[in-house]
Amino acid sequence: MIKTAIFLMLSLFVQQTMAQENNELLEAQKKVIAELSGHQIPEDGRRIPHRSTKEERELTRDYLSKVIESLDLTPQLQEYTRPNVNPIIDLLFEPYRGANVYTTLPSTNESDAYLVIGAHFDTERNCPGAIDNASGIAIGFGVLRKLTMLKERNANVILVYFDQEEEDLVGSQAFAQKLKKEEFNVHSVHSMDTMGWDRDGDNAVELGLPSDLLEKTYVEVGKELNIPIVITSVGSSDHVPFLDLGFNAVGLTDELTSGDYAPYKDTENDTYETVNFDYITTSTELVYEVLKKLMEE
Amino acid sequence: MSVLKQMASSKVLYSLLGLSVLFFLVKGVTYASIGSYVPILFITIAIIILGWSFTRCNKVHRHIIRFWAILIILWASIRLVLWIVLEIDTTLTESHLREQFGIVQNIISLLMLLIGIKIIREVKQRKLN
Ligand SMILES: [Zn+2]
Repeated sequence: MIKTAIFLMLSLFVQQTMAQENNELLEAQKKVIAELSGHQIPEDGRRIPHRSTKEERELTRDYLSKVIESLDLTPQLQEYTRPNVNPIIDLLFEPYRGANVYTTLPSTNESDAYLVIGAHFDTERNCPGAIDNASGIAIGFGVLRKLTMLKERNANVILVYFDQEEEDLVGSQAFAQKLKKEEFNVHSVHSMDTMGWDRDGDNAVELGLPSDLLEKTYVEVGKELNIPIVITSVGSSDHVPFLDLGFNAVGLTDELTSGDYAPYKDTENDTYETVNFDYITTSTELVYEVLKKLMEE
Repeated sequence: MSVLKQMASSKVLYSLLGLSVLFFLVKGVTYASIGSYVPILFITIAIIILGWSFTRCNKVHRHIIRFWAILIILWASIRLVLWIVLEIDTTLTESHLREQFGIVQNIISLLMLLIGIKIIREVKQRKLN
């Protein structure tokens, strides 16, 4: 009798703590999206209206570095200079210049394997970019925060925020090349872009160009969490440069090909008010559980 | 006449020529260092042809320098026209494109245009005796 009572009290306590943590996480994610999309002014008083010009992107990088520091992790910058898409244009124009922001969460058990989660932070000109792609940034942040709380991690995790996705995927190209050049043992790359819209409320997530292993894992975890997984051949975001260099990479997005996608993407109406936070929560859970599972295997 | 003597006789012309070549040389080296070789190829060929023209008669030398000046003028004009187009058309949203036309870059375009024009004038006036 006493044993049962203690057990019940304990499980109630655990449930409450978990619910509290989930609540806190959602509030933190809301704050990130609000501050990145100009809806709310960050503590340092420097409002981020858009994330497109050189100055705006620099401001965003500073902000993201602080977001990473809030997880007690060290933010790093990968600065790059890259040629234009067409070499003839190089004669006329200056090269692309930008920087990716990233951090590494080390494994707790000895491992040289890396799981990479990424999301681009830039927007089109004059767009607040709440869904495209503050949503992806908030999910990446949420996944990493949950992973930091794990007692055991069998792989290292890199969270990277890409610069200049809207400009021919320049930032992710630079990062993919860095990982290749420095011979990182990358297990897989999970890139999240535009994940804040779910009008039909089905939680569905689209996977662009997954490998068999990634497809299988996402579908299995999706079943457990009641999240439909739709496989597509969408190849227009940051997972593509990684695939091009032979990495096991996948792009995650809302239902772009199934018709339930962010309608205000790349417009000035891509605002905080249009973000579906239930979808942010379920998508965070999905990516977190997938990464956890991949680590265990 | 030796190359040096010829240069000394038209200091303005050859200074401007050197400046414009140097500009594209820096561009070429910058791009080569990040794996794009068209600009360095372009300026290397230009330097070879300009150098070779010193060994030819005045007429050929003049023609080649003038051709280089026309290329610079074209380069500057395209950039200035693009800048004006972007000022008028606000629907083009690519930041990278817009950032090609900051104050410093526009001043460089204008300077190159003036250098091109001045070179042509100098070639005409001095006849490069
Ligand atoms: Zn995007």
